[in-house]
Amino acid sequence: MNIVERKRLYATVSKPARYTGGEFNLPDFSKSGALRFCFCFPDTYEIGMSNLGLRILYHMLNEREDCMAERCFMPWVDLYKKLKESDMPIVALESGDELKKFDVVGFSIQYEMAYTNVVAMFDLAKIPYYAKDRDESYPLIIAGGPCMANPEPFADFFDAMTVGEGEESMMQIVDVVKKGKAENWPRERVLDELSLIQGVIIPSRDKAIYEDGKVVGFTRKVVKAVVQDFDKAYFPTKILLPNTEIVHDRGVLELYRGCSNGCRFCQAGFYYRPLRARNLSTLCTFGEKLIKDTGYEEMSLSSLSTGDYPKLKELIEYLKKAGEGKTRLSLPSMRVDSFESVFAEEARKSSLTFAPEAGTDRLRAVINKNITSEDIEKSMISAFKLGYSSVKLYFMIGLPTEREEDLDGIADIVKQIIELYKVHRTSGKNLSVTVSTSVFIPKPVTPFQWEGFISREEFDKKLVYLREKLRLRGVHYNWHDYDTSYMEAVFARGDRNLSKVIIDAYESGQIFDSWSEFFRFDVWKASAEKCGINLDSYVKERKVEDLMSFEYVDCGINREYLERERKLAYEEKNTKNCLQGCNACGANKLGRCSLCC
Amino acid sequence: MLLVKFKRRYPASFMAHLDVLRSFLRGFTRVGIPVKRSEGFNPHFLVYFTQPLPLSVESNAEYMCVETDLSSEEFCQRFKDQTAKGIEIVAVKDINKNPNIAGIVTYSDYCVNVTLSEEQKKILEGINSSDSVVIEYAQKDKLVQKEVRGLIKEIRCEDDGLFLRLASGNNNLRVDRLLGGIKGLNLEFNLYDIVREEQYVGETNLIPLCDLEEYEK
Repeated sequence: MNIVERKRLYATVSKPARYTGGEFNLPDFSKSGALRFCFCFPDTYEIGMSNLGLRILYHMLNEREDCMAERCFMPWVDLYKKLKESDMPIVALESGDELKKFDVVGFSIQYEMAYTNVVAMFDLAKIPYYAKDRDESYPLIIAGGPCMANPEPFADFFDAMTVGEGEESMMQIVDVVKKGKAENWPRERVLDELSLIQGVIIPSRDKAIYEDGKVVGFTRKVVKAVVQDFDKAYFPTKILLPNTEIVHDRGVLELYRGCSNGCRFCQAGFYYRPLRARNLSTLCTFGEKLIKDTGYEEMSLSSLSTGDYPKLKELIEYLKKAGEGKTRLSLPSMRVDSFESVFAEEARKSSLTFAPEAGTDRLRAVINKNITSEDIEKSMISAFKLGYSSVKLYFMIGLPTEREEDLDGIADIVKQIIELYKVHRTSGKNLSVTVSTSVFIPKPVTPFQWEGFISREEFDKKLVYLREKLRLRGVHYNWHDYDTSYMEAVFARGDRNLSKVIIDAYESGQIFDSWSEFFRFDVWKASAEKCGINLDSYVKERKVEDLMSFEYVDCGINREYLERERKLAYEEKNTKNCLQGCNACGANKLGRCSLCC
Repeated sequence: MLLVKFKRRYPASFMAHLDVLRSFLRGFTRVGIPVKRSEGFNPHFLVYFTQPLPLSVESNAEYMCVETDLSSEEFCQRFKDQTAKGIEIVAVKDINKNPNIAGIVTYSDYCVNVTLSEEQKKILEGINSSDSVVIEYAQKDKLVQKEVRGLIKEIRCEDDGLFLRLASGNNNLRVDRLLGGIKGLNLEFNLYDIVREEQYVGETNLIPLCDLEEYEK
């Protein structure tokens, strides 16, 4: 698409700067003869540009002399309609070229509800959905991202998929495709070579073997790719500065990967193991450069449980000095027990967010969230003394073994907070408590991967109960709705039969399913019915001895470990934090596991 | 204090005004341009603009004032290639005090890249010698009528389009509103085909904003 066409198209849509590109820090796109790669992100620019993985891989590929990587985001609904109506294809941001012109098109798939957008982008690019329906004139179409813990529902759309960390596999994929292009390899030969790279799945070959509808084995296992020396791993500081405000419009410094806490419901906590940290000096250098190269006024210190980073205090002190007091630091994902009063003291006293996840010590032992009511109490007292007056709390409902007393526990925590505020407040404002509940979803690579998903009746009952209990002054309660969680649960352990449901839902008008205003459960239900799929069968409890179709993906955690953890959960026993000693989950076979820095 | 003149062409013309501001501020942080801040509860950088154009309208003459002790030479040296694509610094001048640029601008020149029929040319050029021009436009879902003759300094039809000199600043007349609101004109044009060419101070003797010191004399 040339500039005049782009102007005409974007002049009438909302926030056109999402589509026009031209950001500061744009890499060099004049390399002749370079391999052309296009990253596709099945959500809006604002969300995709906030994604750290995309930032890393985009700049990493563009630093190669022999590769140019562009971006393409899902157009917002207004532009989507326009493109469909005028039968125009989506194009890459940088060059305005159609996706078909690229050598490789790589989708980053971050969450289950983005699946219809993946299909929508195929449609807008005029690329057939199924890999088997595409001839060799089409680019190699691949996928990666955290959804690869179970790639089955969308596996049939892709020629290849990468499980694990792209810093490792992506460079090798580019090497193979480049060689294949130079030597004119047929697609099958390219796939042969790709399948040798750690973490690469070739969906047409790597799959579950069924007998009488039951999984009895796998053609082969694919082991996740892992960055061995994380401290030396590529990290971009000259990153693109978006021309329109994005969701996380700030610099992001990644402290470490993996998580030592082992909360039994948490997929990320297991999927990203082994635990690997960057040295304090490396982070100081990156952080300082990030401020200099971007001019961002805010920087976030990111990882799955930032408070666990052993030298957090030193890092914060260094970065504050480097930012000359102008750079705000934000710390997401702090555990209640790691709340750093040093930091909170100087931060803007807006609101504190804590995620106890469950209402009683008993249920927290089941899910291995190693915090006690006492920990919560202590943190609240210190926060209130510092002048905080607003608290956000996150809980889950539908957790295994959950009982009425656990819901009472949620209300008890809130009541206790109200009482503590009366005694320890230093702020003149009224206390505001926001309680949010999400619905527990059994996810692959967790000890709860065999659990059942809560039934609608039970959910409704619990919701009514909790709403009544939380009818307290200054307390605001909001909850994640059942239907989206249900569909997420379907996909979390779904198999390849679901690909046709995704396509049918899309063709029935579904896009942006992760946006509550566009999600329509009745459409999904109708699509499943039309395809002869019983959705309930995907969310019910599984037998531990039965294999699931995604288990050919080896994320490092041993199955025996997950089984043992599940048993401990039912015995209401905690597992210690990995930092206190190895629990032998198996992830260290992929790389040395440590949080030394 | 510095007066900065800059171009804002595609794709920066599709950036919202606040995003342009943010983009400049981040650039200032990157290269270490010390911009003074207000002393309120939520300090903000002391940077001032003239009235922003509608999204997608381009410009060769945007202005901002930056409250800093840095000299214009030093500013130019540091702030090189620091802008988003489409933004280009044209001139930087040292000035003594805050001139309130948003308030003192009186007129702006615009060029519209559009093909005109003879009939349309007649209507448009006829405005120069008429006493009254009433335009009609929608405001909050309501059609309003407004007499705008006083806000039009000059309209000229040229080979490659249309030239207009319209009131700007506090008493502003938008080009798109004028061209879309003249009865019987039926002109089809695109916002992205409009380019602001200059902004002026003064009433009869118009002086480009970048030559502010002459006006102050």
